[in-house]
Amino acid sequence: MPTIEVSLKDLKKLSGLKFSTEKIKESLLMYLKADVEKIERDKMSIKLEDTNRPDLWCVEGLARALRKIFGKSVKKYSIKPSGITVHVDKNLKNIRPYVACAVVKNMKITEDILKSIIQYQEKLGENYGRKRAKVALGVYDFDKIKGKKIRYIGVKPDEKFTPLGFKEEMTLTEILKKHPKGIEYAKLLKGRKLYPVFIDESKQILSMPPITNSETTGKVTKRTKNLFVEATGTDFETVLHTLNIFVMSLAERGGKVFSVRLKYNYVGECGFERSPKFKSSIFQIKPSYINKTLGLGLTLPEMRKLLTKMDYKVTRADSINDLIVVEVPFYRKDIMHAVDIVEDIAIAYDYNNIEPLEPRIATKGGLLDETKKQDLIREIMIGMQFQEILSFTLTSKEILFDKMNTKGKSIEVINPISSNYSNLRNAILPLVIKFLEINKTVEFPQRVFEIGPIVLPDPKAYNNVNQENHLCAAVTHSKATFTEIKSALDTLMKQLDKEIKIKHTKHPSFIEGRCGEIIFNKKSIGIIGEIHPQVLENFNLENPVVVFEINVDAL
Amino acid sequence: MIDVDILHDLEKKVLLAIKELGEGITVNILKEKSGLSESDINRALEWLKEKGILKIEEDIKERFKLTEVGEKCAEKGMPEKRFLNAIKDKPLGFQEIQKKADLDKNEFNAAIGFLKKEDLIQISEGKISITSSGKKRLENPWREDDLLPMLKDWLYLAEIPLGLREALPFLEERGLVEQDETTIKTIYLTDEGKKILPKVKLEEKIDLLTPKIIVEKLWKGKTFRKYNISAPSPPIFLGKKQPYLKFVEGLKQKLISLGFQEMKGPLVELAFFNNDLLFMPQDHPAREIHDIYFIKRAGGDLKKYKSLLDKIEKVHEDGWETGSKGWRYPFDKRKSKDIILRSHTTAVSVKKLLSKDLKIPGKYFTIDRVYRPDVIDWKHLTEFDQLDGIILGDEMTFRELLGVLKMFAMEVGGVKKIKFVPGYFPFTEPSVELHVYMKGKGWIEIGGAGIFRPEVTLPLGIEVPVIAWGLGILRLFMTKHNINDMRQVFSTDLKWIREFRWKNANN
Repeated sequence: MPTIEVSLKDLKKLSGLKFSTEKIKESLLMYLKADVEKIERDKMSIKLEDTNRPDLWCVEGLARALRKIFGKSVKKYSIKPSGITVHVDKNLKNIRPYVACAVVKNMKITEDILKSIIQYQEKLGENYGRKRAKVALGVYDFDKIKGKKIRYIGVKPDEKFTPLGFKEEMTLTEILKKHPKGIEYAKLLKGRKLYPVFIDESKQILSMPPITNSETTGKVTKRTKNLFVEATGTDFETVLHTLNIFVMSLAERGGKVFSVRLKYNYVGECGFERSPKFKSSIFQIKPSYINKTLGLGLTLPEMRKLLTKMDYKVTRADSINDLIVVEVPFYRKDIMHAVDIVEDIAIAYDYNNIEPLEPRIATKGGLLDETKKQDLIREIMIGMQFQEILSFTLTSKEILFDKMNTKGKSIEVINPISSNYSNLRNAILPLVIKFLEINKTVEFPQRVFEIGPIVLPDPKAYNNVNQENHLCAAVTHSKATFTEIKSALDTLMKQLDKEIKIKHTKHPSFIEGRCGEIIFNKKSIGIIGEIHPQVLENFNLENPVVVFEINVDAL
Repeated sequence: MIDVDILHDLEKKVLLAIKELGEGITVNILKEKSGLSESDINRALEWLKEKGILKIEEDIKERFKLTEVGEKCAEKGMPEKRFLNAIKDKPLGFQEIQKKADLDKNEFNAAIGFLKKEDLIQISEGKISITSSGKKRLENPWREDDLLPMLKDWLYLAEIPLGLREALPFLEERGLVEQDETTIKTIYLTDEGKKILPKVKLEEKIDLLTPKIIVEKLWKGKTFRKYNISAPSPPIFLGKKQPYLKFVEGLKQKLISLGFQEMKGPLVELAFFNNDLLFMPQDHPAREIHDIYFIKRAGGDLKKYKSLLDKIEKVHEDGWETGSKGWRYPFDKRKSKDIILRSHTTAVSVKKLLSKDLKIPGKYFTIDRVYRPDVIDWKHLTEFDQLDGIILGDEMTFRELLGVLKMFAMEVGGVKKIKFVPGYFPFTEPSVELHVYMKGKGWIEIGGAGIFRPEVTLPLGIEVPVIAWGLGILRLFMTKHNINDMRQVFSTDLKWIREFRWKNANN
């Protein structure tokens, strides 16, 4: 979820609300899921929790929503034709096929407004545009573009133009290697033989989406009055929506919106489209569904009032047919289902005005058998003066195998943040020994145990693994002996009424002749023994350690 | 004042000996004269010191004793005195003097050197005669002769008469006396000790109560020695539950009492269950490598769920029959087969909705491990636990959801002030965050909740509303126990675990 910085003064001015800062904060949180994380003088840092409401990721959008909620008038947008046509070349169909454009005139751009525009453009590309892969925006000084025909076309990498922030011309390949945005987003064009560019009638390259604009035409400053805006990407609906909400924020700043004709040969009717499009959609919703979902007894007039507050236009409210018809504003792409409108009604009503109700469903509660069994084992271990410990389930191969003197297979994550947490444990024992290493200066005797999951590879399982619950217990002090741990195991098994046998075995972590497999129902369910001095040395331990580990699911 | 009755017999014996021998005696004298064994005395002195009855002052002292050579001189007198006496009347030759004064060769050489240096003799033509200062010297007393016999045994400096002490450096230089240092321990009674001393008396009291005393009724008519019951005692390293796990156990008990049935799911899951079923679009940021651990790309087996997978594909693309428009993107079935580490326990809840033994109405919960690729620091872990709960039932509404959250915050969290804040989750609508007010910390978000979207429930054949909620229980535990560092919860610090204190029985 994106975090944006806005000027508190700007927000108050745009929204026309004379609220205290605290009330502004509360309203943003309770109506717009906008969490003010920090206020430093005029600078407000806001986290937008709703990743599906990019229309709110700018101060203009937040202010507009607040005006509506608190009953103030909101701007009505109108669109006039600009006379500009953007021709989309068919060679882009498999590269970055979609584009939507607009012209916005009469902008009065200040330093703050410029910052706000750039921030919004960046956030939309970064978050909503999935790091510019799905969609990215470009903004230009309209007056520097020559002619009425702009072409969006794939060109060879050795074409040249001067990218933003640079003084000399560079080839497209050089831009991907040297320009900071080129380096950052080069992977989006990796392996392409042609790179997308915008070209005007004088054949000058305006930009190379989604990387960077031209220094000459694609630079917006405080002196810029009229803007050309484009969005490019891989999905037309997303591209168009991104353009729409971006243009809306410019309109909120007083810009006049003009549409652009898009000439495709693979989109729209007869290959023609027009953007931006501020077209609301129609949704039908049953009043009974609203009340059933929320548990409220709202009347139709109440619903109408709440819907209006959230900027829906109620065109029909009919109790006989149990029907409300609403127009959903064009900037609300997040409304996928009637239930989304229900939430807006609840938000408008204010969650904290809804009286909570304790569920009156009578059901019998209970723990799973495996939990009960584990709890019983924990109780017995504690009774034998073992201290319960808790380790992470992610660890390193070094601890699982190298230091334990063993070889084996464990489940490894592809994208670990550190090799220390790169493998799921295939046994608890290595982590218990590691625990003893960390606590080697704490008073002895130390008697510890852990019960929890371990994971082993299993190619036959649907998720490729087999998960078991294991118990591992360890005793260490200067006179720890095999008998001591065996007593604990035997006592535990007696208490659980299970009969086990110990069979001599060899294991590289243990001293030979002091290590046994634990057999239950003719199956090996664990291991018991005295840890080999080499392993002790690997873990910097100076006292003998005796342990057992068993699969408790098998009991 | 200390009760004399709590004193051990040994302590009493030592105190009585001090009373008899007088305060200010050394430990050595006590050992010599009390008739008690050295180890008994040491133990008793240690106990008495701890009780504040006496103090022992340690002092380093010098002491002196004759050497072997010195012993002979102590018997016969100083060699130079004997030398002078031998020639007091007439000068004699070397051998004559040696014989007459009974000097061995060493003594003779030492004496002659000293006497010459002091100008007490003079040598001419092979004979040695006494000088006038030599004669005068003979008339003066010889302190060395008085001192030497005293030093047959070690003598402390303080025990040597003042007038004789000055001779010590000379005797040491001449190798007649040796010196060393030793620590003297002197026993003094404290004020407390002085007060109780008159009351100390030895009488037969029962110390350890033994089976013999009980069986043979030896205790009858006798009294028991009183113990110092407020004395510090050695710690016991008890076996106990890991503090956080005990807290989790308490939560589970609470949930059971509220009618919830426990559910569980695997740590290693397919993206299908963790994401797709929860209506998270496949290009959702929470599904990327920065937010989810991958085991393998597209390695899972969904044969068993083929028709459901087809349905979910449609749900994502156009809403299927759920009344939704869907996310409108091409669904990639291979991504459903990604094997991942579960990133939230909602994966367990949604799988429960799929299970054959699901009961409607029903209440279910799980508390289990989830994974996120975060760098570990004081407020992030890469694996932690979540609590997830669901209630299914025809009459479940948003109000009941708020009711559950309120009940949980108040009953389980012990919180008094709560607030519901609109939230966003791809799989619930309406969605809500639970914020609670913690003293000294302000408002804290501890969980998220909502009603499962129709896009989640309908493909699974669930037609009743399902209210769902998840709580960050780690945060709740930390807040309750004033722990600021998340890593402490999964503590590898045995000392911390051993010393963890429960403020009250309500976890």
